[in-house]
Amino acid sequence: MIEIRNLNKTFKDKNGEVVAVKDVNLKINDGEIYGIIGYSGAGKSTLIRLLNLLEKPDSGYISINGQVIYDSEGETLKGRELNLARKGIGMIFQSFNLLDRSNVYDNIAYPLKYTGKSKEEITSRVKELLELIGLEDKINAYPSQLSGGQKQRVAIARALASNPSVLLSDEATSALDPDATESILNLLQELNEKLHLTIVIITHEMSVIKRICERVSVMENGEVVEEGDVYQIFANPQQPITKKFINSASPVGKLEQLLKDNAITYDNEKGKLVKLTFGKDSVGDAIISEISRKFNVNLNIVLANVDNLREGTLGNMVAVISGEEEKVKETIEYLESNFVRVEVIK
Amino acid sequence: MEWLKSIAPNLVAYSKNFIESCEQTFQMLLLSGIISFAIGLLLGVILTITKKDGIKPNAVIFHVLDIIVSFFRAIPFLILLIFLIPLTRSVVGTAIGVKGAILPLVFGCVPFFTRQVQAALAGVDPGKVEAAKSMGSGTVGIIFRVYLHEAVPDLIRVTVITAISLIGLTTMAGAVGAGGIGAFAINFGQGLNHTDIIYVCVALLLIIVVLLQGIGDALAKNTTNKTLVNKKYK
Ligand SMILES: Nc1ncnc2c1ncn2[C@@H]1O[C@H](COP(=O)(O)OP(=O)(O)OP(=O)(O)O)[C@@H](O)[C@H]1O
Ligand SMILES: [Mg+2]
Repeated sequence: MIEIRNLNKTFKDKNGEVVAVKDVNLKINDGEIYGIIGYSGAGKSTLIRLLNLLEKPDSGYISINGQVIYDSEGETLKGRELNLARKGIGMIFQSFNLLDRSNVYDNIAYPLKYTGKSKEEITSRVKELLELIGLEDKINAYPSQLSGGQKQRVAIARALASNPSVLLSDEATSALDPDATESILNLLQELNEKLHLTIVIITHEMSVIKRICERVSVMENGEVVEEGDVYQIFANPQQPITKKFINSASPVGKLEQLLKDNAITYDNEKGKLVKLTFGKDSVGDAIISEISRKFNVNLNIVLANVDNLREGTLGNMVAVISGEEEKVKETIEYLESNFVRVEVIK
Repeated sequence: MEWLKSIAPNLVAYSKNFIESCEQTFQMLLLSGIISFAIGLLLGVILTITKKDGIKPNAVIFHVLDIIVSFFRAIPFLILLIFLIPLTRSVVGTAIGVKGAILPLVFGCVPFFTRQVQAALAGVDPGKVEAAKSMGSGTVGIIFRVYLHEAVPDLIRVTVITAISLIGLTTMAGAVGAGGIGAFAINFGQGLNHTDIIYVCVALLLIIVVLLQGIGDALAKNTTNKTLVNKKYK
């Protein structure tokens, strides 16, 4: 488990102070894929870099699997001990950071060399890792001969070489095209399941969170403003910034723009524009045809989207319900009693 | 030989002095080059790691070294040669000849090379250093396995640049009694008004420089994004 308590980090330079991480408290469970999302400058990178002390905190407490990494009130790792602890915490980066003058083998072998391991041990471990990332045929290639996705795979293998229990990922897919992003996310999920690897993912893309994370923190101005189960957050976001992120990852998010452009036209007197959220407890599509029959209302779908989250599917729909005022009201009540969340927009 | 005699008669006449001066230049280059390379590399590494956002920040070491390097870099070599005579005498016992030239050559060369090494190491992506740290590499590991390893092509380039400027310095040292091709050109060429000697000396220096540059460029090219000799793992 990764435990973070009251963690603070402020950067001071000639232009003044920047509070990059402010009183952050988090618990990340073993074997979990945990997401941290936020806009540029929110402090995500700083937070993740504090975890392996690439950046030194100002105050607070960090422990990983029971080992205290930093404690402003007690002992803090340094020197040889810190280097040893870092071997238990893998890290991957947006820019891959492979050694350009080393081939794939030597890049992956980097953390294994000078640790007292024999050549044979190193070779067999490197081969094992190459198989895991599916790049056995690139063993002698140099980074300049690899695609972005392949480079990130090598970086992942290198980060996992000394068998860490935790993998920190700082925007690891941000420099990749959608296909490569998908394959890297697949690989991370596979590693998480196969090796029971705890993965902390930093991103500014909600689609990444949606795709593989179980829990998520939303960061703004150095603070965690919302935290919880990805499914719950998607189904019921609280903070404006969270809603913004969710809208960015869903066609239903286009609603605001459509309203602004007056692209949705309906009879204001007789209809109501609503946003429906179908959770995993809701009955699903059948309910739509059911209500039209039951309450004699018309349901005109404007936008719809289904998300496959790790915990289940989540449907979103923007629709105009029109009919007699009383009937529309009854329809909404009926939907709510069937675990559909209804937001009346207009 | 007959042919050489016809185009450069004076050179043939003084061929013994010529060969001797070539040897002197070669000795000066090799000795001061090796010493300067070692010291400059060391200082360049120390300055790189001790700077504010380096891997082992140390303001005192950084600033002291930085000032010393800037100081010697600012002194024109001819002045430095004279300025260092007492020191050279007390260290090697003489201020003339090849022996007396090594120390001033090193002093003239090291600051220049140190700055070049610094620039080469600054070209190493800090992300690579960060990744190495995250994998548990210590200071020594990062210096050798990241900084020096990744900067090899640039280090080759700056070594060639420095070697070429060192050739210039040896000829200047020759002017104040160190011997070598420079002194030969001055004493026997200009002094005795034998222009053929001057031309041959210029041509010879030109060939050395072109050769050095060519070898350096080829090595740098073949070490960019790869090791010089490709390793093959099965
Ligand atoms: N070394 C540093 N010195 C000074 N300020 C810094 C430093 N590193 C980060 N900051 C500041 O701290 C704040 C948080 O930066 P951080 O890199 O953690 O943001 P981020 O959420 O990772 O953003 P991005 O998505 O752009 O990577 C920013 O305002 C940044 O300017
Ligand atoms: Mg960042």
